[in-house]
Amino acid sequence: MAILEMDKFTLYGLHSERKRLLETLHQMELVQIDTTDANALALDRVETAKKISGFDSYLASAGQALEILNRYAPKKSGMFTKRTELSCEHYSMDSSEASEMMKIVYELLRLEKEMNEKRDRISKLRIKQAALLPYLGLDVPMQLSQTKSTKIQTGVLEGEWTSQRFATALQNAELTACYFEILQSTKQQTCLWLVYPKEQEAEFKAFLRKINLQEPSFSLSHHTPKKKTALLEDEIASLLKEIQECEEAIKALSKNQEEIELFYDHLILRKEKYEVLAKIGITENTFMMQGYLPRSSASAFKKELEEHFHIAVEIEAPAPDEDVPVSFSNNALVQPVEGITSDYSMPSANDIDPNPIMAFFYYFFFGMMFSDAGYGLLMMIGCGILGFSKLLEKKKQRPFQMFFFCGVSTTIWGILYGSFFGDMIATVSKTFGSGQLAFKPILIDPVAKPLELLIISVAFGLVHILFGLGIKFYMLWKQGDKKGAIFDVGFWMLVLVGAAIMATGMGIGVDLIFNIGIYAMILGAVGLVLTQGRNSKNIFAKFFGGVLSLYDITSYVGDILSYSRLMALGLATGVIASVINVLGSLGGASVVGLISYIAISIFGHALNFAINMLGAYVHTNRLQYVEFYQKFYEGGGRKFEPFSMNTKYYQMIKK
Amino acid sequence: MNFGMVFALLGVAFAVVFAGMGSSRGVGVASEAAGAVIADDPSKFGKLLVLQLLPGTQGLYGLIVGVMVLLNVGILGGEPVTDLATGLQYFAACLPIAFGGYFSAVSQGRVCAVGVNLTAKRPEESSKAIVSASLIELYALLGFIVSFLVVINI
Repeated sequence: MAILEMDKFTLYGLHSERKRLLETLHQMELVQIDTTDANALALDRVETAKKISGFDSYLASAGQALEILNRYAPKKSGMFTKRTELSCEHYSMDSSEASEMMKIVYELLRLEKEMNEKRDRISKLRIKQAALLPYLGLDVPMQLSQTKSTKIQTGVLEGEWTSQRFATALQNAELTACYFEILQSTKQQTCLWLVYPKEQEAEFKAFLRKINLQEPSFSLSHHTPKKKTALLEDEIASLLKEIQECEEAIKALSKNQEEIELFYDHLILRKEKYEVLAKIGITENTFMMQGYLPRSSASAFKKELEEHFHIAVEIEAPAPDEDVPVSFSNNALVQPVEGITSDYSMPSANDIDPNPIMAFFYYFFFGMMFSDAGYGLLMMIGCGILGFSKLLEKKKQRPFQMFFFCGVSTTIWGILYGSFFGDMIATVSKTFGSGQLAFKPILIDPVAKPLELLIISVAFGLVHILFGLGIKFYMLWKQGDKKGAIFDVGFWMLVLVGAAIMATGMGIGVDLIFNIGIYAMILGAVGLVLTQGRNSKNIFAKFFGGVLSLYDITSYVGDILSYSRLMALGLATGVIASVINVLGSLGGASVVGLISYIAISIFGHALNFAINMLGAYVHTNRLQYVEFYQKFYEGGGRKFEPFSMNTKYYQMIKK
Repeated sequence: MNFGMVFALLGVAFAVVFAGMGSSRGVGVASEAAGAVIADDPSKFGKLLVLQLLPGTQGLYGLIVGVMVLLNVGILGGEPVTDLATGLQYFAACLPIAFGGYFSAVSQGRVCAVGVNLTAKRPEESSKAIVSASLIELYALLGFIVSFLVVINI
């Protein structure tokens, strides 16, 4: 089907051409290079670990430098950033230019470090200033601790001390020959300045210990506090100026931003090359490289390389048991959902490509759950623009293309359910107009007939599951396990189809159809009982194995009922949208009412859109992964990841 | 005294209060986790926002059911409830979203918090965290739908 066929290539070349060859392959972005089993072939390897870790550290530095530039000289960028395209002439960078760039990078890092140190310094100075604040009233230096005949003590007391309280305390201690100033007094602490005669030092010291006077907790300056504060302020100002200068210097370097980005990309490219180099096997003069490439381009690849290099290229079909990497190739409608499958698992060698069938159900179920023509149109417009215009790179367009198709389906289901922003048309017409306009459902009104919707949902679920079983049947049959196909899958399909026919018969009241269904179910069940124990030797074990297998019916019932979420989510979108409309219309038919309606609508519908789109996405995925893929998909394959240029800022384009 | 009305309004309160409580806890837990990550790397804010907001939807569902009841019982529109039986019916209708909303929001909050850590370590896998958290959303949605269907059919 639509899994790309791969060929294996083995390539022998000379070291003298190794670099050029690697660069050519890198720019081709066509082949996946695997690790050559050097030990088994008695080959050596190129030592690359040191180089690669070196590139990693350069990359980290360059990344940091770009971050710094972005912080101080932000580049204006649109909502959608696209890598600038560059021709492959810019693939390599000469070493003088690279070391020049590295110098700029380190300069940026140094400036940033310097600024941080200065900022730290400023905050330390600020703390000093804050500590001086209580002593600002003091007009002598704090360091001054004595004169000829007096001692001076500055300090902090716990709690609030008024001068009266301190004077009383002095009196009680019978120490009167002194002078003091309360510099600042708050509930928590009081700052004090005290002068006393030298001859009474011992008494005063004892007194001060008693009232628990603490020395200030910072080094005392020989300037007055006011002067010191001003000096600190000067220092801060000069530091700020220096920071400003650093910032200017960084801004001046921002003219190199694009070059640094290019340098960053070069580092990535060189690292990628070395990572591949680590995989090849070498002898003294030659090297050997192995890998895979799509069969369709194999012969052109061989021809092109042999033309330009002294090289031997062997192309062969991979052996059946080889772990060949897998890549999909599908049409434009299916391609966008490939990502959903590869998120789950890449197909194994036995698997067929499930994407074409999955894509149909994906869009179908997504639309059924989101189910609103208004939201669907919004999605089509938004995702259509992003998915198909040149605003984004090709790889990033895929999800938007998927949501565009989901939007188409959502719009269709919205029309079938009669939902355009819920019942917006009817509500607006009722509130502001004649009340005659309404958007009538074509198929079913989910709110009025939830039971019918539930039945429809479960029926679609049954179809989905039968498709899954059908694929399993096909896969087994193709592998030659015809017994397994009929016994393990066919009989279950018979049971499920029988159950569906029976339910239809019951629903429309035709006994004949009902009976056909019953017989089909019984036939399938008998078949299962007779065949499911076929691997046991003992006749009883055979029988019980068969009977026990019928127990699997519970898992089928669970799977099918799981599709009730198609109803639940479909209903929720419309219901919440309608309630938003009702809330909006509560203002009545006035100007204020109209304004409130518009405001509530925009806010409410945006919210509902977000919640329900996320819900539809998640639950569509779940139905594919859990209910559908479990039936047949083995997975576990390896994704084909060609040796390509995964740069960050510039996209290298081959001429 | 009109007990019918009392029960109908009690139902509204249940729907709004419990669903809102659940959402508050869920968003709270997720946002705490996100705060720690954003402190390290503010650029992840956008990616984490969805995870922070996901447990918030239950509160919205509760509000919607509450408003639907108010629109039916004569507060914002409709006929006033006069008998006890109808009032109890409205009360019962509010219970699925009240409790379904509460418990799903709380556990969704926890899953989101784990998802936030996942996103912090491997930003490229953030969609998987969102998917895990959204799986719980279904059970809040089921409660909401049943509440809603009952309310509009009383």
